This record gives sequence, structure tokens and C-alpha cells, in this order.
Amino acid sequence: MVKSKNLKKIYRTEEVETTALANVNLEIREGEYVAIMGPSGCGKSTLLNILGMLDRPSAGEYFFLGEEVSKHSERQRARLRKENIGFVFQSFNLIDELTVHENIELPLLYLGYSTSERKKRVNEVLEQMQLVPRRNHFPQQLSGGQQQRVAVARAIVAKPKLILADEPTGNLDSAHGEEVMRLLGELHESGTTIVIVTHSPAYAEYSHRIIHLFDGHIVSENIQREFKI
Amino acid sequence: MFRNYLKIAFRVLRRYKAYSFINIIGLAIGMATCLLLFLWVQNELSYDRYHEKAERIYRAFLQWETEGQVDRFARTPAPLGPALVNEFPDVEKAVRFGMNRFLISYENKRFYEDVFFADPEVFDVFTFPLIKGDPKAVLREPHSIIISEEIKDKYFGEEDPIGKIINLDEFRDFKITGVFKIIPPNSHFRFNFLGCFRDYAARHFDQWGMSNYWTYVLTSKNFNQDKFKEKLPDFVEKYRGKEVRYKYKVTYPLQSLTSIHLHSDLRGEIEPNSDIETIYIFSAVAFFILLIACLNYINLSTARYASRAREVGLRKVVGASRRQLINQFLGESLLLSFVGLLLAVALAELFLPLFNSLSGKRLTIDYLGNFILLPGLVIIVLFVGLTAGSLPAFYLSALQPVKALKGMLKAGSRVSWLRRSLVVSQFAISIIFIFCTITISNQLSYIRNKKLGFNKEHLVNIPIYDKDALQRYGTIKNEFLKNPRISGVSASSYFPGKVSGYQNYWYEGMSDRENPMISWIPVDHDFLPTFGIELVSGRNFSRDFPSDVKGAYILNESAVKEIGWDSPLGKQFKIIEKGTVVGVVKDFHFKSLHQEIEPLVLYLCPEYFEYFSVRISPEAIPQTLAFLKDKWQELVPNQLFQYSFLDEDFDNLYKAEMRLEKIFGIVTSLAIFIACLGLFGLAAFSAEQRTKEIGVRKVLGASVTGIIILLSREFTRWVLVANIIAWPLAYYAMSRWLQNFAYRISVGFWVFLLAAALAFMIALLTVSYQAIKAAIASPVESLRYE
Repeated sequence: MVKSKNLKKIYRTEEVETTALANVNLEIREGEYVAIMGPSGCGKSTLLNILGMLDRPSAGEYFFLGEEVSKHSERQRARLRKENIGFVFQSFNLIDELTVHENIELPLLYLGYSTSERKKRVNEVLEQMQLVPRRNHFPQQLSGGQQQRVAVARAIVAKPKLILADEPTGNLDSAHGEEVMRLLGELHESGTTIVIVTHSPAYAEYSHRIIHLFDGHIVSENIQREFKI
Repeated sequence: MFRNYLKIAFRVLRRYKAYSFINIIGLAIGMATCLLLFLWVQNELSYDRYHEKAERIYRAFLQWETEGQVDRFARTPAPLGPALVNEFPDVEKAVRFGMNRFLISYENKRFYEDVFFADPEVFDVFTFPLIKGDPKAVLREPHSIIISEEIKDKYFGEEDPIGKIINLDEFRDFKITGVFKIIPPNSHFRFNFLGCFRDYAARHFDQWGMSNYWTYVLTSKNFNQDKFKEKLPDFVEKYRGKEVRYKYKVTYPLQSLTSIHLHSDLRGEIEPNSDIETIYIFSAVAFFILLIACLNYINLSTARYASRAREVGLRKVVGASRRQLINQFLGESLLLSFVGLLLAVALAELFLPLFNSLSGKRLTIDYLGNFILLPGLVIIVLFVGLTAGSLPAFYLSALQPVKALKGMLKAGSRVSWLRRSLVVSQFAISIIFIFCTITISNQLSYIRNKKLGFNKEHLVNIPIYDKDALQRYGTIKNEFLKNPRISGVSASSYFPGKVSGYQNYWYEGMSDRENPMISWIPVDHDFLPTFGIELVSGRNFSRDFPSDVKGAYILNESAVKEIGWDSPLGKQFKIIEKGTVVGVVKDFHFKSLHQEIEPLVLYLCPEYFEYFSVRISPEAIPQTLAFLKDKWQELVPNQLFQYSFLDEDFDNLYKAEMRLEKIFGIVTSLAIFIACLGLFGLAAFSAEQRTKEIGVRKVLGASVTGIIILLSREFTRWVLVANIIAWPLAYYAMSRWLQNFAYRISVGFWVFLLAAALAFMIALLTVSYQAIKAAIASPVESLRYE
């Protein structure tokens, strides 16, 4: 589904040049569950951002669904992104001024769904995430775990092919963390490709494959489980 | 989609309640003030334009030259009008006006009223609608008069006034032939009675030397001012002779009707006019207040937007296109400024009565009728909304989602430069206003306290209308003097700011080439002592010299200087009858301090007296006034007792300036308030932005005071810069305004410092609240920054 060739990402300030990613070659097939691990500062989030087309590589190529997208315009990438990818962040990133329902609905608004379609879809997702009693609450009124559930709900409401999760359990206690991982697992079983960045080896074991990053390089890949197409 | 934006816009408003309120209130106050001032300016500009043929109406005035000095006089001779119509084909009609005060009596009602007289053609030229009566006929009959609605109610109540006879004392009976609608307030002169010009001025119909009347003409559509000007000298020669044309350069130029109210300042105007300068000042003030408010609004809005970067980032991640984000922010901004507009309109309506009483007008906010109003307001809302919204809209929407998600945005250097300059401009404008207010106040207090050359305190002016009282003025004076609290009584025609008129005069040694005119005041023997005017040489009029009555003259120093005599006493002089100069008085301010002291002659001529001036003791003033009233009613039963205090009459000469002072005072306070609102909001924002920095500094050992100084330093620097910008502009503006006064203060340096200090203190107070709040915050909280 996605493939990168010799990906390089360099951050430049006035005097300092930091290489966040160097020579990253990876390929992720549709339906896979991949975890990316590594110490802080090794470039995990950067890699995830490039995979999600939120950022561009400084050099190298990136293929998304067969297209080489690193030179695409922002508009094209945004379109691909919104049609195919859902994001889950460590700090939830919900909009405080919107209710749970409205937060989940947001991607559908930008995709141009009609009011009735949106309503239907959001209701489905609310049920799926067991958030129905909370639909009119604001993020401030929810616990961390509930907020992340909302974020996940938002990520899947448009039925994306790929979900990118950047330390989704980072701000949650173990009980809620487990819950989110379980959710992701269920999504995976229904066919969504999942790439998750995580610190925790325990959570990483939910995946098919663990990619270890160190100082911007892929140092190893562990196959956890059989990936059958 | 739109609903989503709307929802968010309102929730953002509610979430940041305090900021939103500050923001919108500032904008609303600015817009409301601008709106009211705009209405005022619009009204001033509209004077006399309601006449259908206003564009074609002109007033002829009198202009002549003596010794290089050009004099202009609004009053013209009676034959001028008809002569202009005769000689100039482009002058279609002429209407002459005369005015005098009469005691009107009808049945048991007697009042002194100003009565105007005009040629019957007045309705062909001006638009004065009649409620009763046919405009073609009302003034054609001799001794006919028309009255205004107000007068009809006053004298006749429900009765029909047509055909009734009223008496104009000392003159004759007049028959009422019509009732006209009240003359609109935006006219350069107004009247309640209009009689026929012929009845009033027939005896002057071929007197070119008696310039007593006002002449208005109606020109044809293709009237050419220049061609008229060219032919004017020949016209003057034909009717007045070569000498008048060449020696005295007499001419009768035209001024357009619509320019009179704001631009005409001739001697002998019907009513005091306003001033185009005031219009400029108020327009400038309106503009600047609005500017401050808008700058404020833009500044505060953009400051707040930085904290929405995360939301922007998220929306982008979730699929918003740049265009959609731009629309969202612009929409929010327009919505907020529209709310501000609604609030502004409410404020304006609320304060309209107060404004009307301050300005002396009766303005209304006519949303539908006033063509400029609604579009103007809409334009302002659009301008403010779009400007305030576009900065965040374009800037934020261009952000990289990743960076935006990372949290609070560090304001880009370009943006903070903008913010800085906005605050500096606001404070610069406020400082200019403070400066102007202080200067205007100073000038007014200087005027009020300046020595006038005579004692104006505790001097009561009583007008004399009754001819009989005039004849017995000596007796009345003596009766008044019987009261021990009255130390002096004088009869004269002096009233502050006015003179009896300008007379051609002759003096011993005058050459043939001159035709000078001089101000003169008829006074009695007691004028100089009662007023406390100093004699420089010679003597006052004296009862020991009966020939002094109409045979002696007292000049002021300026008059002597103008004539050029070395020893004026004993020289011959004439304005009405030939006489001798018996005394010279020190120059005193008989007119307002707007003007230089002119040459003046005092003449003992009782027929012209118009006022008693009574000097009373400062104790028990009410009792003395009661005594005067009782004595007056006893001695002059035919005339109501009226009085005024001379010092107040003098103050009234500066009504325009006092109004300016009040309005400037208010506007300055508003401007400062708005600027402070802005500063307050920004200080809060800045403190928020630097939360992490402050936390770190505190952990490292900074004291609370140190933090406060750190946060305040930025702002105080801005205010100091604002001063540098403001000072030259303020100085320029006030120097120009002060030039309206012949006697004025000089703009002192200390005023600059005072304005600067005030602005500085206000800024400091405003900022300190936020600074202190930030400085005492716990560093643990601040550092738990994500």
C-alpha cells in the first residue's frame, strides 16, 4: 500500500542541521499492522508524518497507493489524505469548542458528505465506540480515555484505508491504554491497515511487524506474526 | 458547513468571554462615536441646502478698501438688489432682507420679537413652504405679515390667525396674511415673522450709502461667476460713481448660499456662522477614533488567533482545504464585527440625547432616509471584519499541520511587528488627543481669566427696548443708585462682542484719498467709571460740559495709532456730528479675544442706548437682582425685566470653543479607554505566550518584581515611541487652532511632558494587572506546558 525509497528528512535551522531520517526504505502492505519503535528523538513521529503526507521528505521517494507523492502539491496530498487516512494522536487533538458529535463529524464535513449521510455515519461510529450517551458533551467533560475514543471515532468515521497512530496510549493509564489497543485491533481485523508508533513493547506486540528506528535509520525488523494476505 | 462555522464562532466568543467583550466593546464605542460625529458633520454640511434652487442662490456683500486693507460687510444697500437684476441678465431675481426687534402686541400678549422683512419674491427664490396663504399673494399687500407655526401657537392658540391685526410697537399695525412652516434649524438664519420689505425700508430705496440690509439673488442655470466679476466694476461705477469705484474700490461680490454657514465670516452677518475648521476637526476626530477602535479590534483578534493554531492544524489533518479555513476565519471575523456594529448602533441611540444637548442640535439616526448611513456602516463592518480576519485567515491557513499541532504558535516576527505598530499608533493618537484637550482647556482658561482692560465681574446688563425708558434713562439710573449695593450704573449700547456698527468717520488732517471706517459705541457719562476703563490722557465725558453731548469724542489707543495723531486731544473728529476729541482710553477688549483690539470711538449719544450696565456688590446678589427687578417694573411697566451677567455674556462668545473643549474631553477619554482595552488584551496575550519563559525564570530565581518589570518593559517602550510620533502632529494641530485667537497661550513644552506622563502611567496601570498576575503564577503550572 505504501512504500518508501531512500527517505531522508533533514531539519535546518540557521546554523544547525539535524538529520531526522536517513535512508529509510520500507514497505507496508494493505491490511498489515505495523509498529514503529525506538528511543526518543529517533525520528518515529517524523516518519509517521511523512507516511501520512503531513510532511515532505527532503530526499527520496514515497509511494502512496502506487502514486509517487513526495512532489505532489499540498492540495493533492490533502485530498489523498482525507480520503484515505485517519490519524490518532497522543494528545487527542480534539476541538474544545465542538461537541463529541461535531468533532467526529468534522472529516465528513470536509469531504462534502450531505447532512443525512453525515448523521448516519456519525451515529454508526458513536455506537461502535460506545459513545452514544456522550454525544453532546464537550471534550473538557470527558476523561482521557473517552477523549481518545472520540479521536479514534473521528479517525475512522470516513472509513479510511490506513490509520496512523502516534503514541495513542501515551497519555492514558494502562486500563484505557488497553482499551484503545483493543479498538485498534478490532479495526485491523475488519481490514484497515494500521501503523502505530509506540514506546511500549507490550503494545507493539499487537502488530504483525515491529520496525526499530534508531537515529533516523531502520535498524531491525521483527516479524511478530504471520501476515496472510 | 456554514452552521458549523457559526456554531464555532459563537462558542469561541463564549469561551473567551472577557476578551471577546473587550474586543467588541472597543469596536462598538469607536463606531458609535464616529457615527454621532458623522451625523453632526453631515448636518453642518447640509445648511441651506433644502432650498430647491439652493445651487443658484447667492448673497451679495459689500467690500471696500482703505489704505490697502480690504473690509467685507454682509449688509448691503437697498437699491443693490434691483440694480443687479436690471444690469445682469443672468441675475434673475433679488430678495432683500431687513430685520429689527419690535414689541409685538396682540390682545393681551406682548413680547419683544425679531421681525424680518423681505421682498415678495422671497418665495420664488427660497423654499419656505406656507401652511396657510398663497405665496404669490401673502406679502403683496402693504402692511401684511406672515408668521411661523410656532408664533401662531404662541399668540393665537387654536384660533385662525389669518386676517388678525398685530401691532409692531412704534411702527404700525400689520395684518397677518399667512402662516409658514417653521424654518429648519439647518439654516444660516431663521425668522418667525416676515413682513414686506417695502414697509420697512422704503425710505432707503435709493440710498446707496445706507448698508443695512441683506441681499440675495437667484441666478440663471448657466451663471458664470467670472464673467459677473468682470462686469462688476463697471456696474459699481454706473451706480455709484468713479470715485467710489476707484478711490474706495467698493464692490459687491457674490457668495454662494450654501457656503455661508461654514465659510462666511463677514461683519454684519445675520446670525453668527459656524466654521469649516470645526468640521475638519470633528471629521478628523471621528476618523481617528474609528481608526483606534479598528486597530484595536484587529490587534486583539489576531492575538487570539495564535492560540487556535492547534485547531487549524487539526482541521487540516482532518481534511480542510486552505480555502475552507480562510472562509471560516473570515466568516467568524465578519460575524463579530457585525455584532460590534449592532452594539454600536445601540450605544449611539442611547447617547444621542446627550450628544444633542452637547452640540445644540436635534439630530436623529435615520437608517432608511440617510443615504450614506447604512452603506457607510456596512462598509466599515466589511472593512474591519475582513482586515481583522484576513491576517489569521491567510497566515494560519498556510501553516504546516505538523507545526501547528505542536501547540501555541510563536508569533512570527512580521506579525509581532504589526502588533507593535498598531499599539503604538493607538497610543500616539490618544496622546495627541490628550495634548489637544489640555491645550484647549488652557486656552479657554486663559481667555476667561485674561484682563480685559475693564472689570467684567458682577456687572449686570439690562436691555432697554422701551423708548420711553430710554428718554428717562437718567432718572432710572439715579433710582438704581439709591441701593447701597449698587456702585455704578451706565447706559450705553455696549454688549460683549458687539459694537453699534462701523461708521465712516472724518478726522482733522484726513487726506482726500481715505474713506475710513471705525467701530463706535454710544455711551453715557458713567460708562468709563462703571466699567473701570482707564483713561490714558484727557478726560471722560463730563456733565460740566453740556457740549459733550454729541459734541465730544473719546478714542482708544488703537484708534489714535491708526489715525496717526501725536497729540489727539483737542483735535476735530466726526462720525455723526463734528466734535472734539476730549480723551483717550487704554485699549480694552470690547470684542472676543479671537480678534485684535480694533480702533474704537466712544460717543455720547443717548438715542442709541440699548443697555443699562449695573455694577453690583458680590454680596447678596439675589437681593440686589430682586431690587433691580422691582425698581424696573415700577419705572418701566411696559417692558419685562431681563438681565444677564456681563462675564457670562463674554463667556458666550466662546461657546464654540467650550463645546469643543467638552467634546474633546469626552473623545479623549473614549480614545484612551479603547487604547487601554487593546493594551490590556495584548498584555494578557503576551503574558500567556511567555508562560513557559516566566516559569523557567522563576525556577531559576527571578523575583516577582523582576518578572513584572520584564513584562512591562516591552509595552512602556512602545508608549515612549508613540510619544515621538505624536508630539509633532499634536503641536502642528494645536498651533493652527490657536491661530483663531488673536490672544493666545503659547504651546508650552510642559504640556508635551504631561501628555506623555499621563499616557505612560495609564499604560503602566493597564499592563501591570496582567504582569502581576503572570508573575505570581506558580512555575509548576507554567512548566507543565505541552
